[in-house]
Amino acid sequence: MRGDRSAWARGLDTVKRLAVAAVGVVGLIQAAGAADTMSPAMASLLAAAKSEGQINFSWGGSTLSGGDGVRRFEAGFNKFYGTATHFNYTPGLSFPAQAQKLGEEKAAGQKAFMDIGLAGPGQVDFFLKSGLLMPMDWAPLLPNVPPSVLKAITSENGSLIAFISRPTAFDYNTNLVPPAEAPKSLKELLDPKWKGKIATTPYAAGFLQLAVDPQWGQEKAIDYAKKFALNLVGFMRCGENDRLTSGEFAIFSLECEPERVIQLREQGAPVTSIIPQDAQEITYWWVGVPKNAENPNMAKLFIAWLLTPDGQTVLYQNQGADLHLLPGSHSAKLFADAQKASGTTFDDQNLQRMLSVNVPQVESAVAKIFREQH
Amino acid sequence: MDVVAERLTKRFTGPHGTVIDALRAVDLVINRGEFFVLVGDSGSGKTTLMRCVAGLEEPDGGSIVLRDRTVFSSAKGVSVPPQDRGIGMVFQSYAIWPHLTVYENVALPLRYGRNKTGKLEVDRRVREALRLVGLEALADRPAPHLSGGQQQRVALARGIAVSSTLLLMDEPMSNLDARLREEVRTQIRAVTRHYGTTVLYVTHDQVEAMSLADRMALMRGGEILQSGTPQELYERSMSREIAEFFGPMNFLAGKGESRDAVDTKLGRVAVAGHACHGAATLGIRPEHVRLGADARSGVNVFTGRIKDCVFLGAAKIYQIEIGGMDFRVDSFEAFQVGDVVQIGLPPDRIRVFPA
Amino acid sequence: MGRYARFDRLLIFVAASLPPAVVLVLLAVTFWTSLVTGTPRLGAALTLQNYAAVYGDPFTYGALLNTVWFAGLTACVAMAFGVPIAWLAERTDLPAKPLLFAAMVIGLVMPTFLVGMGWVLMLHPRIGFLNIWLRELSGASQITVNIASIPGMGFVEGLSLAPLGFIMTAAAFRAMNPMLEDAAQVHGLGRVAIFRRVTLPLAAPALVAAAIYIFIIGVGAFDVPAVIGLANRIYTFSTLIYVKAMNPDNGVIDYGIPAAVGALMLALAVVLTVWYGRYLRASSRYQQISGRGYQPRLIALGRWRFGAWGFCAFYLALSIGLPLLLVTWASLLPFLQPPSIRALKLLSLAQFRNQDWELIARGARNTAALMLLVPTVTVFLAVPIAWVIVRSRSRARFLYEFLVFLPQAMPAMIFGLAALLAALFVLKGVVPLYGTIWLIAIVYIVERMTFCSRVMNNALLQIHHELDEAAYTGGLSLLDVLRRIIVPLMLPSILGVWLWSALISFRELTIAAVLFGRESVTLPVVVWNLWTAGGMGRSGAVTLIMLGFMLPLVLFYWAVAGRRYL
Repeated sequence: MRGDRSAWARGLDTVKRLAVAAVGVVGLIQAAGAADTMSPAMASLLAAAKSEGQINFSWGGSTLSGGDGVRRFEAGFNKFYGTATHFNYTPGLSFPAQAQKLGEEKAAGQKAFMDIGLAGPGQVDFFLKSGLLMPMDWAPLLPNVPPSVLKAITSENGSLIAFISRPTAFDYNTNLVPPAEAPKSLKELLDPKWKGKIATTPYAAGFLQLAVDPQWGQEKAIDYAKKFALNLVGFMRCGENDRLTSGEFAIFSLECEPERVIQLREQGAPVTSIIPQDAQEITYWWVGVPKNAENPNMAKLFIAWLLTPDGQTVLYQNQGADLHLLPGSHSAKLFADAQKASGTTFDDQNLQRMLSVNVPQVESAVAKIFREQH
Repeated sequence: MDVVAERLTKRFTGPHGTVIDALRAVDLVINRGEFFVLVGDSGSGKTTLMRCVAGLEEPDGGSIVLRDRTVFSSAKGVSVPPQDRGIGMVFQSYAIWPHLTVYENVALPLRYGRNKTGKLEVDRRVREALRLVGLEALADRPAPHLSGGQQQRVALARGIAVSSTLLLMDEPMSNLDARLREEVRTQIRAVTRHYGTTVLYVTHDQVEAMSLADRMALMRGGEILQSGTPQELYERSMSREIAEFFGPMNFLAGKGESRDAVDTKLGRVAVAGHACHGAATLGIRPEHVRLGADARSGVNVFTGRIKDCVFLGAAKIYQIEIGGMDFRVDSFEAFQVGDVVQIGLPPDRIRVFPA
Repeated sequence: MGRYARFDRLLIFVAASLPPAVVLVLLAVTFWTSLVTGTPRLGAALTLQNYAAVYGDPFTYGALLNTVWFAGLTACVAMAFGVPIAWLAERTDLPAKPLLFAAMVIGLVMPTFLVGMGWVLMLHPRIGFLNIWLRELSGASQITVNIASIPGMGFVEGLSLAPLGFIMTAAAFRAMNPMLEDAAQVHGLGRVAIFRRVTLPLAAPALVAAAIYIFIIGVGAFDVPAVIGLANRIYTFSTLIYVKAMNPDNGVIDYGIPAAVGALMLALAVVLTVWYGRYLRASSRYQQISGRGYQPRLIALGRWRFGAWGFCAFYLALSIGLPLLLVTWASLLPFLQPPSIRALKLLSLAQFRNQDWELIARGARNTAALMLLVPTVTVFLAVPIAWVIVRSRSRARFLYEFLVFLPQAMPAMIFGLAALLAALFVLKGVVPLYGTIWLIAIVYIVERMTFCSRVMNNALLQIHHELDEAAYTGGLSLLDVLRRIIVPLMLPSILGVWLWSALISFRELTIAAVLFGRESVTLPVVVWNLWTAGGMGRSGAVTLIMLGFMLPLVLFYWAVAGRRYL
């Protein structure tokens, strides 16, 4: 009899129905991962990409974990879309050199040597002004990114979109720098006791961020550079971490990819990376598709995947960082902790901010100072 | 006429801008079957002339006709390269190819040259040439294992095999020792006579030249000073310079008095033939000067004293002082140093040169 | 001239003209680039801005001074080791000579930047092992041998170039007429006096030529100045170009700057090439054209042979042994650290296992292709070039000689950049060379030709011109003479030069790094990229794998060509 059922039984029923519904919802959500490809824009993009069948990448061998990283990207990407795309990777050039090469190829009417353009803070100006990259409307391809976030991470015409964020940092060798004396701010690096022990990059990596930061500004950054140069002993590139672990250099400032140094530390290397107390910035890397790319559709598809939770997971595995603005981000936690500890808000150096400074001028001025000032 | 060269000129510009006229409008005629020798010091132009005939140098002007075929003419703009001239050549360094055997050295031009011949014919000609020079037994010996003389013979065989009609030889004996030279000289004559080859032979050694040549020419400074038979060049040299080249000669300065006499420091000397009026130089070969009793029976007798004597076995070379001058006399007669002797100068042996 | 003879000669000249033509194109591109700003394009305005930027900068002159100093020291060190070892190898009865030759050849094949890195580890003022031990042994804390200085850099580069000095002077010692020394001995000169007053002066032109050659390489060297100098802000021209090019004023890397620097180096190159050519001619005059096979009498070393081998072993330890040891050490560790107990616990073969084998295979394929193609074409073209320079008596032969030798005086980087620009902008419609292995091959051929041509010219000089003439008068055409007389007689040199080119093509880095594309990445580029990215561990492992491939070739080299070539 209908009415005879106890409240318990009725409650159980409800639970059962809810469970089924929940499973259904979960199933739907899971399918939604693949169902993303079902939106018309995505569907046509996927079809176009499949006809291309491969994608070309070439960046420095430590960036994004080089060849190993590309293989993980390949596996994750193919699993997500159910494709069998071949990811071609050749270890190659630094960011400025890559940008340069893309520019040359475009000017010479050649196909681009790689299907995406990578921009660090120093290349934003170049890419935006040169018109090398395709204007894009990312919204239909990134349904899981909130519109406000999307606006913050893309350039006006969508040619550049951020995919990873990190703080400004410097590194030191923990054997050579005892914890008691460990510097915590950029100002402390000016101390004469560090003379002859500090290396930096020949392309003034990181100093652009100081010029953009309202706490610093261009003049103060250049002034700092002049004083900093007195303690410099020489150059190494981001990624030449051996020179730090071996003790050839005691301190490396400023670092491009602090998260990689942290990965090394976790392997037992005597190095660590520090967010300076007086230079608290969030900087990004951006990506776009060159107009003369060989496989443009594949590139767009890849970027779209990169910004999904799946893609960001693989990204974090490769690089040790991801985009902190996306839900579930590891880097978000890093920034949250750091900001809580220092009680300040980090300077968010997004695209608009990067355009507020004359990038080439600052970089070449600082590089010249480092080169010549002894 | 096998070789006719007309008005050949050749100028070389050295690395520092120095200019050398190696050939100055030289004419040359060699008859068929003739053994013609070009003789002269180094730098005389003889090698250049030969190389022009071979086609290894290109003259600046003139013409060369080989057996009625114009191989070079500056006027007509003809210049046939060496490989098309059909000449055999023997080089001073022998130019034996070290990576080949004796047989292969002689065979190479026949196998791969302009006129490629069939295997059988090649073999026949090579073996014949080797037989003629006496090297048939060494046919399979690698070239570097040969002695100098043997290499020379291979070079000769090769030259003959390529062309038994016209052969050029560039100082082929200068690297051989004296005894070998004798042998080789005989062999060359034998081989070339066998075929009736026309030969153009270049040497700096006047004795060698005279012993081989049917006709010869003396070159100096890019010009032919005199050409003719060896006898003509030796006995009827046209100038003191030419005479001296072919052997020692005694000279006496003088003044032509009349057709038959020349006044000299020693006195009046009778000469046969045309004496020139005015200053002249008399010349007489050491072997023509008479000594002792022999002298007294002739004319132009002078007295002198023996200063020095070089004993050569049968012959002796005397240095005789007469009237303050030294005369060299080659004689079979025996005298002592210090002896006073008479010398006689037969008029028909005296050459009269312009001063 | 006969119709066919003219055709033969034309063919030879055309073949001989190919490398000089490439050189001219690259020179033209370099000059043009130095006169425009931004990327070179047709119709770009010509300006002297780049020159002003380079020559107006006092920094440039500091770098120039450093470069000359560095190159000079390189030549001194290279000759200081190379000449005595060459003399020991050629004029004494030193035991186990084949071993010595093989070792010297291995020295050539070691990538220079790894040698540089090894020396940093050994003689870094702070962390260098040798410095630490030196201080401990002597008790003085002041003693430091600082590798991070121009003398230090010159030392390292000189060490790696000593095999070159060895090979070039060994040839000179061998070619000397022993009768000249015999004459001295008969007249009472002792061994030392003979060496000082007869042997050395006779060999002097060849020695000077070798020293100039090495000096020129030092001027253009990039590896050691990049590894050691850059890390300590000591600039030579090549590294100055590199850093300046990375930080342009208008955001785009301007090749105009490197090109303007290249133009200066070209002027230097012209002077050096002419000077070098003069010594080359002088040295060939002293060489005996031996058809009679004079064997130089070997000096008996007796007790001294231990000392002699000690010297050779010392050199080999410095140039091969220690760096190899360090590379091996690095390749067995996850990250580089000085030797310690802790480090020993971390040793493993992980770096060898976790390699990107696909990439290595790709690099190996390309390198192998270059090792076959480049020497073959180089040798094939070197014969006509030798004929033009040595035999043709053409007035143009000096121009050929000059253009063929010029690349050796230009830094490889400038040439690479010029080739890159030529492929990108000049040739794009005509011949698609950009990013291909063919582009690298062409530049390699032109670069290898400088040394190969020198050797082949010498070899042809040794062949008496009458050997050719005997063939001409025998009826052979020019091509036949080359084929049947000249090439067979030059075969030992040809073989040696082929193997030499193969070895150098194997290890060449600078040009490949500039020109490589996706499909044309070479093994040294893979190693270099791994090093700049992942450290000595990964790249050390690949280097050892690379050297493993090389060993059979090296052994083949000394077994077959070894002494005969030299």
